[in-house]
Amino acid sequence: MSKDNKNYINNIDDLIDSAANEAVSELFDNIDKSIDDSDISFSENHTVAIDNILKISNVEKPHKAHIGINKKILLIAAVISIIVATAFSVDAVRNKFGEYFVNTHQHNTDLNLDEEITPDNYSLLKNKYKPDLGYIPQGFHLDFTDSSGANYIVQYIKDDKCFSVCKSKMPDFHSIDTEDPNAERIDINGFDGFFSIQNDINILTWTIDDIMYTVESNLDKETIVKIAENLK
Amino acid sequence: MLFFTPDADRSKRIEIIYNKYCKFMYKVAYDILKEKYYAEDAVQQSFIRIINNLDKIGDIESQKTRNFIGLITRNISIDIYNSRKKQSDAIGDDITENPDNDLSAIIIKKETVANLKKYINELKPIYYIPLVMKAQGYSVNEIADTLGINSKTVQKRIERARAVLYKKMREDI
Repeated sequence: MSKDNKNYINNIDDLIDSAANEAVSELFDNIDKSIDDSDISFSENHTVAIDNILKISNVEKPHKAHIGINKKILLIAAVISIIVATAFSVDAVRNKFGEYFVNTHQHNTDLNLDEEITPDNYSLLKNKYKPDLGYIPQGFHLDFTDSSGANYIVQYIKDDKCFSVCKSKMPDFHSIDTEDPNAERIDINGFDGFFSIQNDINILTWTIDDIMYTVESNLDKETIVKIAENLK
Repeated sequence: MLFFTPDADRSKRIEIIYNKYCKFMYKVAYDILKEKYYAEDAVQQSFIRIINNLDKIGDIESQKTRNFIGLITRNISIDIYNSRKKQSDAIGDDITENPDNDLSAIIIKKETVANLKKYINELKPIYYIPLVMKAQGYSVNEIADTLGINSKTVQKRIERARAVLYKKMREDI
């Protein structure tokens, strides 16, 4: 069909539509004009029937647009369910999904007994546990520091000598081998301390309130005690 | 919650429509059925159809609404009439499945236009109502929904109605 012919048909169809509109309006205009109110009276049966129709119509009809939307939602939900069910039937997908929640490669579960560390209290805890050394033997310099929030370690070094000081939250359970023949009780500024030697490393541990202090070093006992006594 | 839309105005709107158009509907029906009992029956059936198609009614006072209500009533009245007596004198039965839509032979003359309304009024109701509703701006789906028939049937009937009119216009030349 040529473009001209198409346009021509459209013109004819427009003409038909226009004539159809006029025809129906004329038809109903004539009927409207011919209505004489005194002419028309409905029977009692008709009035009852209309009343019943009105009563039934008061029951809300589901809105078609919403039915359409709900059908779409149900259809989408069904499609998603099928996709998920199909994906989960594959072992590899199921395992991958599970790894988001559980680390399947880890053989044990870490339990954090420390104070709960959050981004908000991290700085606060770090300052609380940071050891303030009042005495550092001559020639030693800071080797490294490490902090996880509820504990703080500093290590000083000089040639082959070193010492580390750890200040941390007192663990719920902490045991000291009092039967160790190399161990002895030492008073640190009025607090009970415990000195021991393990693998040629001298270890001094004491607690003040809920904080545990540890000094480990290959330095002699007197130097370690001096470091401990000057710790704030 | 999702399945029902509260519409406090709905029943009020239905009552207004009925009170405004009940006599008009009766008159449309009576002109076809010529009997009070059947005319009232047609009004009741039409009213139910109107309630079911309330979403297609905009301004209650408009001519489009009146024509929509009139066409529904007319369609139902004709159905009632046909169920009582087979109507055989309307045109439209002579249409083939593949009507000749070649309009090149049609020359639009003043008389052709004048006659067009007459030909439309003479159309068989099954063609007349879909054609007029389409001209009133309703989509094929809306017409199908209103008349309770398949949308493909509506499309076919509109095409056939136009084919009858094309043929009549060619004969006018």
